Amino acid sequence: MKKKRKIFYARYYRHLKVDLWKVFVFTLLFTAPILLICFIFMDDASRFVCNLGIKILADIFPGLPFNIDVTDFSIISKLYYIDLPVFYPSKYQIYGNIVVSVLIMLISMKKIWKGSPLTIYFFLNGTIHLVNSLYFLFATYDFPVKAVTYSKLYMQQEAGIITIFLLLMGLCTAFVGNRNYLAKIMASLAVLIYSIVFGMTRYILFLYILTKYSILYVSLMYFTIGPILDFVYFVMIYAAFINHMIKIFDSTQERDLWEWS
Amino acid sequence: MGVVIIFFKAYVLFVIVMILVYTVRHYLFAVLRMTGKQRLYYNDIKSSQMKSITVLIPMHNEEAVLNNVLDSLLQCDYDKDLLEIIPIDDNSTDKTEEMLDEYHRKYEFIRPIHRRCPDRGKPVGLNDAMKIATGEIIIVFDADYRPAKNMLRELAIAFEDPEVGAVMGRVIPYNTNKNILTRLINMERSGGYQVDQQARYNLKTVPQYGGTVGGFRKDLMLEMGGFNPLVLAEDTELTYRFFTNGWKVIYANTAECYEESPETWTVRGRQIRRWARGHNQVLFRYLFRVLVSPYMNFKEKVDGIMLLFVYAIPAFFLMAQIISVMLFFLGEMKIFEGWWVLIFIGVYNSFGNFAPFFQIGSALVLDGIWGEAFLLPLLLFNFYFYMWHISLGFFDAIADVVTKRKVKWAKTVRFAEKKVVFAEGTSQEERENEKKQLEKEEQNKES
Repeated sequence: MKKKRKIFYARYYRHLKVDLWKVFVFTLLFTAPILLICFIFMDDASRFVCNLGIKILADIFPGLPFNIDVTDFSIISKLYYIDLPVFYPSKYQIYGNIVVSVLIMLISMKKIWKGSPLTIYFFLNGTIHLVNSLYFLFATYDFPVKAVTYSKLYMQQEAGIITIFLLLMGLCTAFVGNRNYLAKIMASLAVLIYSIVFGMTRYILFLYILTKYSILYVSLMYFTIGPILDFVYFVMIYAAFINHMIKIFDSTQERDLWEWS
Repeated sequence: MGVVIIFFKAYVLFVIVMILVYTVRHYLFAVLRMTGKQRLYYNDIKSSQMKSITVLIPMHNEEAVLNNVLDSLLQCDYDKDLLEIIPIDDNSTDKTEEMLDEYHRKYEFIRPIHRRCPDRGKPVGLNDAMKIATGEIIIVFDADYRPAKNMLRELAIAFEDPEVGAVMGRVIPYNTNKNILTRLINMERSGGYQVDQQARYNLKTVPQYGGTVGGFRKDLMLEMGGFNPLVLAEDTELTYRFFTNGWKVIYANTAECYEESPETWTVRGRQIRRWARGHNQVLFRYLFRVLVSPYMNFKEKVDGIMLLFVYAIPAFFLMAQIISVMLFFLGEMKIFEGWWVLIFIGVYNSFGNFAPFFQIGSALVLDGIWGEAFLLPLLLFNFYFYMWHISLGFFDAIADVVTKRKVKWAKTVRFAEKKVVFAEGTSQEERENEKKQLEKEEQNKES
């Protein structure tokens, strides 16, 4: 016999059939333990990243003193970070960066691009870099952020990013349907793996830039291409999850997922 | 200096807490809309004696789009004896006047008014039209909207409930696939209506009347003195005026209407800035009234106040961003270590415009829109855009209060393609030149 065609509820008042108790239990059984594991292994993971970073940086910059230092991560764990010497920019480098910053700001202000999102992004960050460069022009050695300060801050941020992201992803995916736990777990694991790999690569790359091209670029690393970029991949992973779920919820295979009013 | 630094840090903490509260609010909206029992609109009420309605359509140089809205309204299944349509031609200089008069010749119940006075603007136009309107209920559409066949009946039925003062329908952009901007606006609209407005309707808090695709009781509005021409966001003002006087504003998710969304960032920026200015004017006027209103319960007051501050938060955040940069250069970055910076940036990123990413994601699931979710990461750049233009609108509103200046009405540029009729024998080259000339004129208007 021909299978009866499934008729979907209209979008106006349909909602997912979700047992909030199950959502709570899933969050408790999956998100909470994975967070705990993160806290437990945070110090080992950070030490691994530092050892790898020192190995790479020492190969590129032989003879420079790279060491490992330790700090507290909140009250829960310890965090290791690379202690490295600070290199200040030359006058020419500062002048060059002032000129580039001013150019970026001027181009952004040009009428044809005025008001678009990228223009505003470049204008704001160009201003920050200009202030940063002027600081170095007038008070190079008084600049409050050293390479090691940034290194420590980065590690603390990354630890925070991983834990907050896992928590956020758990909370944002938990109520999207009763089942599909595999997709939810995969989303959280993708965030975890991407955070570690991306965070580690960027840490070593940033320390390389600070050593090779001086501390001049530290504000760019912090404000322009810092933690803000982490949210792009986080939201991207969430988007992939949501897209997958939309396909499931509107497929003819899955019945009984929706309720009316 | 120490005191200043403490003040800076306290301010940043204050903004973090504020945005965190908003994130929790939006999370609750998303969960409740996605999983909870929905409060239905009045779709089950059938009335044999519908109320008489007057549809008001404010217009200023709308020759490109007015056919759409009027033809759609003519298709509506509302008793024509109970229907009156008043297009408000507000100082148009194009062919709007002739086109409206032509409609009037064909259809007696379309009665345009032609305003030719220096006192321009949507609120004054609506006030003038309300004075001559014969309907009990006023329904407002912008000129670029295309109401569905059942729209008027859907909106009017709500007024069978004597507690309802105003009703708002759902707005859906029709030029979605034009470019990235229109696709992003579509997602934001989806999050804003399907989740945000419906969740507020479910919770019986403060659904917002949006100035178009909605209606209100005429007598009530006239008794309250009509629209205030000094306020740019006459829609938000109506919402708060009704709530603080004991009337309800409700949301009809089934009453869908199609709008043309801006297709360039410049136009969108100006629109957002104008909304922010108007909304913040209402914030300054109604914050105290909401707090002391005996007609609003605690839940309505909390949500009402949060809604009032929606267009102020991005400005607060921009100032917090500037302060955080200053603290960075002062070496006082302890506050931004580890957890704090994450909360700061996390909530700010997820804040998006008014719908965070998880709220939009939920709306896409409910609407069954597959594929668009991959644009969600672009909200990051959109947020910079909104933060900038909303902040400018916020400071405009402060300047309005300080200088007591009169606001000037500005219309959003329309993008609908003009129907060009060429004379017989016109060469292809001449047609192309004519089209280019029209496009140039549109660009000039826009700039």
